[in-house]
Amino acid sequence: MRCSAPPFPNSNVPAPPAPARRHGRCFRTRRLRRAALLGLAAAFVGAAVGCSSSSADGTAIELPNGEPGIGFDDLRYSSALHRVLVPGGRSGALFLIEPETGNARAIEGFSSTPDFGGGHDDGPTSVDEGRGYLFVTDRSSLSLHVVDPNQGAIVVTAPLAAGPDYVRYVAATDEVWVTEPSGDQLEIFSLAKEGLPTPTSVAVIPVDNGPESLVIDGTRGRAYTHRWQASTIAIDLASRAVVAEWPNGCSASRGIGLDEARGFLFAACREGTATVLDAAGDGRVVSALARGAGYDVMGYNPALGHLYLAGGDCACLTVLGLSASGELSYLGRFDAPGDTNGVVADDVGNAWVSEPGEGRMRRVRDPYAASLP
Amino acid sequence: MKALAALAGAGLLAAAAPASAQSEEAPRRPIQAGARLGYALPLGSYEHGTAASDLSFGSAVLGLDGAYSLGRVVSLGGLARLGFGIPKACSTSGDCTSSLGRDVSLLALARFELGAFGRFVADAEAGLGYAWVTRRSSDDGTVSSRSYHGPVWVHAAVLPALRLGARARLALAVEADIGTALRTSLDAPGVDDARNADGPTLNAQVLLGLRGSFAFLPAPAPQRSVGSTCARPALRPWGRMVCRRAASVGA
Repeated sequence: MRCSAPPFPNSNVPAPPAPARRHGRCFRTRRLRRAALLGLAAAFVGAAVGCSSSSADGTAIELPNGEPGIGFDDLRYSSALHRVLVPGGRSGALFLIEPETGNARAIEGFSSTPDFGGGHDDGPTSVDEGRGYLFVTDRSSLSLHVVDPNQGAIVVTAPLAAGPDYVRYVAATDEVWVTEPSGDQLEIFSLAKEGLPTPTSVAVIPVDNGPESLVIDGTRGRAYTHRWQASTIAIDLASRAVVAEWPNGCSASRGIGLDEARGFLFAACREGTATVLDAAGDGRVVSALARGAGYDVMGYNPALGHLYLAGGDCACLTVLGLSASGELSYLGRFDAPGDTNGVVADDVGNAWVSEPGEGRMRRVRDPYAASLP
Repeated sequence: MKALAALAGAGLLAAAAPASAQSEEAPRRPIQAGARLGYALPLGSYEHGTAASDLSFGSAVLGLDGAYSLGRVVSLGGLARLGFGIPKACSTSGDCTSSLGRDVSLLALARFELGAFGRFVADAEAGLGYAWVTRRSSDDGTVSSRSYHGPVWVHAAVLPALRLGARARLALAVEADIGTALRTSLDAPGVDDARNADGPTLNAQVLLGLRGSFAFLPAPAPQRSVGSTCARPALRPWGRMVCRRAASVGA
């Protein structure tokens, strides 16, 4: 580096001689430049820390015929069967996974397609358990199937009025409720009292701008479902009337969950917010926490008081704790597949995260202590 | 991301090379003003459990800066930036427009001239300041927004530039900011919550863009010493160049 006086603009006078190189202003100038370079290097190295990509956490659980990919949607856990219930979409199968071993059993006979084109519009996409049977909705055939898990086969099928989303068994009325967002309605099926629980459509409940997700609160005799934006509605199970509507903290309402014993209703928002609503009281938002993004189907473990939220936008599984007063706290975050859209909790301390592109599930061990006493 | 770090390193090397092989000094630029446009990649997290990239792919950033030269190498000044966060979760053009995030940062900075090589010059910046970040998510007109604000502990940049005459330069801007969010708020249907951020955690952004700058050069001083030329130029603190007395020439 040459250290010399700057040329005088528009001057025709030669520059004065350069000063001694290791003295005075010139030496300070070089030191300043070196310091600037070192500082820059340190800053850029610091900014690059943490930039390395990482793979998803947990154990991959392969599913039969899952390789082309599966458009997972609803996920459930049956304590009675001690199995994670995974509707297999395109594969045309319902998978029952033993939580400790990860062994998956496929019950087939649903609509199937060989290729996976993204989304979750094909085959079985929602399931619930009741009366010892499994109720499964099939989006391709627009039908409600009743499955005998012991036989491993479909035993009864009924047609649906519109494209289904969620199916839930209502023990209090011995009915099956199916959300049909394409028709802005809930369809209600009564079940034959004896023999096979053959479903018969008996009513529809209009839900404008919905319904999205569904959970049954037998203690309070209500069903809860979201409108697509901003609010959650409560429907009386007996009268089938909308009895309340509450702001839910979501710009885009997606997943739903319930701590029935404590009267806390959960909403998972696509934008990454989770809220707790006082379902036992006036429905106000008790607590809200924004972490991650891209949430859809959520899981809840009532024994631990842990909420599980999986989002593709954040490629993360977020674990939140619930206090006895309904306050949410952040517990931890795991790396999840970048295309995940759902998670379900079992009763042995695992969260099961969907991985649609690979047509498999990931089992993530929850390492956190119980949040509830 | 590694490529970005490599690019930053290459920029540093490119900036360092002319510093050691300088063949020509740039004209003194007492007052400098610049405008920059770039793309900022979010890194790190605003609080525990929240990655800076959760809701946004990055931000389109506009910046205005100004600096005053304290000597041959160092200038002091400020930088104001406005960024528009590009949302991840939106499905219609209307929602995507409503979901644009807002990044505002105000920085005090020192700029260092690293050296010159022909028409190429390189500057570096270091500074600190404060930043406000808002991420919005709109779905069919219903909006939820998260906001964070806190100090920017380190702003660093390297600005290899091409001289466009005596006053103007066009530079590649490679910048990095590292900061911490102190406060956060959530505004959503039924929710209006503000609290301290769950941290501390470090967030960062790496910005790649272009900077155009303009220098307000000093006016030539009255030539009153040796004939029609100035033998002993000197810079006054307010940036004006003057000639010293002829008696001091050659001293």
